[in-house]
Amino acid sequence: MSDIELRNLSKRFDGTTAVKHASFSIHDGEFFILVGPSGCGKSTLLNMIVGLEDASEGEIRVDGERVNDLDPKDRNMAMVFQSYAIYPHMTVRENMAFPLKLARLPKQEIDSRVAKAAGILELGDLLDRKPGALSGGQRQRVAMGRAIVREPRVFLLDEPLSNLDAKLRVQMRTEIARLQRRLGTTTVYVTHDQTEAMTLGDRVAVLRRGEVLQIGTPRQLYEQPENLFVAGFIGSPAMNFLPARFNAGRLELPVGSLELARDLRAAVAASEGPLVAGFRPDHLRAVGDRAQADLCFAARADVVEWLGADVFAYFDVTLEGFEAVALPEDLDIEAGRQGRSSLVARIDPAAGLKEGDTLDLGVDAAQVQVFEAGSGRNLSLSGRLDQA
Amino acid sequence: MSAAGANGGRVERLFWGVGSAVVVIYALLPVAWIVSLSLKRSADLGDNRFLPRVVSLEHYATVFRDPQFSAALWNSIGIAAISTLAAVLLGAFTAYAVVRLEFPGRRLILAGALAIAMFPPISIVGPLFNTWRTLGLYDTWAGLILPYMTFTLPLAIWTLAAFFREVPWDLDKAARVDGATAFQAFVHVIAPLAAPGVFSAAILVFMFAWNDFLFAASLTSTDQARTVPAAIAFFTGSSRFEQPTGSVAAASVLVTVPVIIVVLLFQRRIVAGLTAGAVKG
Amino acid sequence: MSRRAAAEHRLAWLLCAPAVIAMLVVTAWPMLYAVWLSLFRYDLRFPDQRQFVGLDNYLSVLGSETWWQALFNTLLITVGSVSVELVLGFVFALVMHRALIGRRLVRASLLVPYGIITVVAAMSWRFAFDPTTGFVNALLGLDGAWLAERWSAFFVIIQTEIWKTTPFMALLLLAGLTLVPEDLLRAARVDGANALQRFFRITLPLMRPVIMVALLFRTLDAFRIFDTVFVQTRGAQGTDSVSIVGYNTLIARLNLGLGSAVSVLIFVCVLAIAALYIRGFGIDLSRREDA
Repeated sequence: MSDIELRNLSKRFDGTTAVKHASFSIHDGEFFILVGPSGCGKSTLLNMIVGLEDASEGEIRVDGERVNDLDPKDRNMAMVFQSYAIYPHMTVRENMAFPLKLARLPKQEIDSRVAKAAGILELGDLLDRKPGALSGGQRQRVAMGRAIVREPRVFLLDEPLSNLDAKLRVQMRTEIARLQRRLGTTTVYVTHDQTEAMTLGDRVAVLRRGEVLQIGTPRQLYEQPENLFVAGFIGSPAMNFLPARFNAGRLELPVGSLELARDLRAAVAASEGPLVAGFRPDHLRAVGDRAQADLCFAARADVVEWLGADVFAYFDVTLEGFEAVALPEDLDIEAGRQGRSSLVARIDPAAGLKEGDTLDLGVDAAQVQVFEAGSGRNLSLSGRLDQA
Repeated sequence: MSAAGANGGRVERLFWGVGSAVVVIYALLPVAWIVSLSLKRSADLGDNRFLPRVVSLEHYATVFRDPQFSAALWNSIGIAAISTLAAVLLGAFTAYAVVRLEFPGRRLILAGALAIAMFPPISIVGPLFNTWRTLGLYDTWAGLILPYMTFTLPLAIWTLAAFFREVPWDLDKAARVDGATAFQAFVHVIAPLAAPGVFSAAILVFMFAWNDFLFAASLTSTDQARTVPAAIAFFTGSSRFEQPTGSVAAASVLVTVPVIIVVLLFQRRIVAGLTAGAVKG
Repeated sequence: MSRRAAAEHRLAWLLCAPAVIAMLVVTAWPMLYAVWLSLFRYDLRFPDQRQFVGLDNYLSVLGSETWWQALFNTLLITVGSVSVELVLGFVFALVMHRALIGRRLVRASLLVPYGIITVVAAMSWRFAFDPTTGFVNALLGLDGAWLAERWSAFFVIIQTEIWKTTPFMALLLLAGLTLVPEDLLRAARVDGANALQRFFRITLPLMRPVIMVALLFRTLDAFRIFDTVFVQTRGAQGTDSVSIVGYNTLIARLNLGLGSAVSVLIFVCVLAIAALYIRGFGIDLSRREDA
């Protein structure tokens, strides 16, 4: 078990920079997630840690020892690939035994470790099959098994669940979490799926275009995103964004205005350019009368998604007098078009909301985060930090 | 299976079944014929019957007694095997570079190989004949191995490139992470996965060399390097006046049967090789 | 260019060098040598009379009836065999594609003609059609000396070629057939296309690239025909192919100058055929190189 430290780590391919000056530490035994949209550099970062790619600049230290110049085979890390990378010409048993044979372990030891791993992953009946005869989920398990038999210092998983169907993905997710807790091995997990990141990670690093935007616990990322991108990337459905203006101590939105806390007022006043207000669907709620929330407005439900325990309702609002927000393209959030925008709210299923119903909605000032549109900086956070 | 129902299905199955039978008979007829011819007694060769009246092995005895035949067989096997080894080795180097490495001239090499695949061998037979006589390569193994190797290189390169593209090279990375050196990763993971493709290419190359007649007829003259196709074509028999039909038939069967066995044993690999370059590539 | 890229280029060229050199030395150089030789009067039986004659050899070949007849014969054999092979190959491919039982057997037996030595195949058919040893006359109730008469000899030669090479065509086409997505055919069926319409409107257009490549290779291959003609008629009865003419001039008569002119002309014909396919039918070979 080990801790990993990255110091100013960069990777350049001819002309493009895949990873820019990454500096952070992964603690011993931690389940650490690298998450971001495709092309953000997360896989490159993982490949540098395991040694499949050389760093252009910077250092990787494991337990304080610099490993930059070590061959992958000498780093004692195990990796699960997106494609599983199971050797098609070897049986399940041979696949799992392969790293141990390379390490020249005695046969007895190999057999017992393979048996143990097979037991943990319920692969006992499949040991003599070839990968061709396995289902997607079983292959995934074999790849996991090959990783754990080595009892490595670090586990690296590169999008291990993305080739599974939705149901199996959720099941394997829990299994991986349980396994990691049981073994307590430092784990670095790459994914583009923020749900995986939030459910699995002790801590999560959000990457975009080679840069680490924020590192924190899932809760920190959810509640205190440092910028617009993290705010929009984390959470499902995504955070609601509306264009906003600051006017005489109040934040004006297309749906009304609200009083800002005093410390936030200063930060907002000092900001440059247009503003974006964001609030989570959980914080946009149905209100009985207009005194129940700091900002209230009536809206018509366009689409109602009933998910059993939750109802997500999409409301259509006009942006009269406001320019639609320009959100980062790689967020894939529709920020509004032709002077209209859509807001999502999580509604109590008991309310019996139907499509076409008009509802009074409210949100509290404390739940609204204000971003500087140009830089994406979260002003609310800096306000709160100043306060603290 | 269609709207016509079970009846239509039966008719359809019968149709394809009869079709299959016709194809099989057409494909095997000449082989059956030459086997049957080789088993006829000399006296019965002119009886115009498909099957022998009496089965006799006299022609096989004649062929085995003839030193020409065993020499040709040995030449064919040796020359084809060495050509195959050389073509597959050089072809594998090139195909690996073309598939795995990024370099200017990649396309040029593939296009050049393709051009040579279309090249008419007769066009270079004259110069080779003249040059080989000067260099002392005329009527030697090397004199045939060189053109065979060259003419099969395009086939080897294209087929191997098509197969190498299918090899999951990522497994090389997986093996490295699992603790293998580059060499171990190659031996334990890449080589076993690439081997079937290499084997397919080798069979195709071997069959080309084994089959060739033009180079063999032009660049050899004696038992020293004359291969089976040339020996059969030029076979004269014991006397000038007797047509050596029976002996030719027996010799033909002797060189055909092992090839057919190989072909049937490795039919999957051969079909894969034949179609890899042309369809997948 | 980074140092790593430079090292990669070096390694690549090092790996390609042996094959490239072999191909240049054994094909490109002899071809140029053939062009050079074709400009001389050069008969190995009278090596002292070697002298530069310019294009005289070409004029003499192009002025001879033998060359034009051989070219006609070769084209006849090529067109005759390749067109029948295409149709027959398609039938065989469909049989293999659709037959539920015996599919392996059909494929295995098709590999037999492919695997057999051409000289042996030509011998077998020659004996089969021979009036004294053969069974064909008896079977058909005929009494002809097939290989002793020009047109029937062509029939035997072409049919031998077809027998020997249809399997190659069929296997390529079968591979092409399996590339046509089954869902497309189902969709066409739902859209109201019958079996014939599905074949001509869906299968055939999708297989066009495979068909063209197979045709190109088989045409060039058929144009080089030598073994079958040599074994069955040796070019007698006016059945010479251009390769036979080249062989007879070069190897049998040892006339290197004249023979090289024939060789160069054959090469030009092959270039013309390839150009016709690539330009005329729009075969995109570069696409294959990218894949």
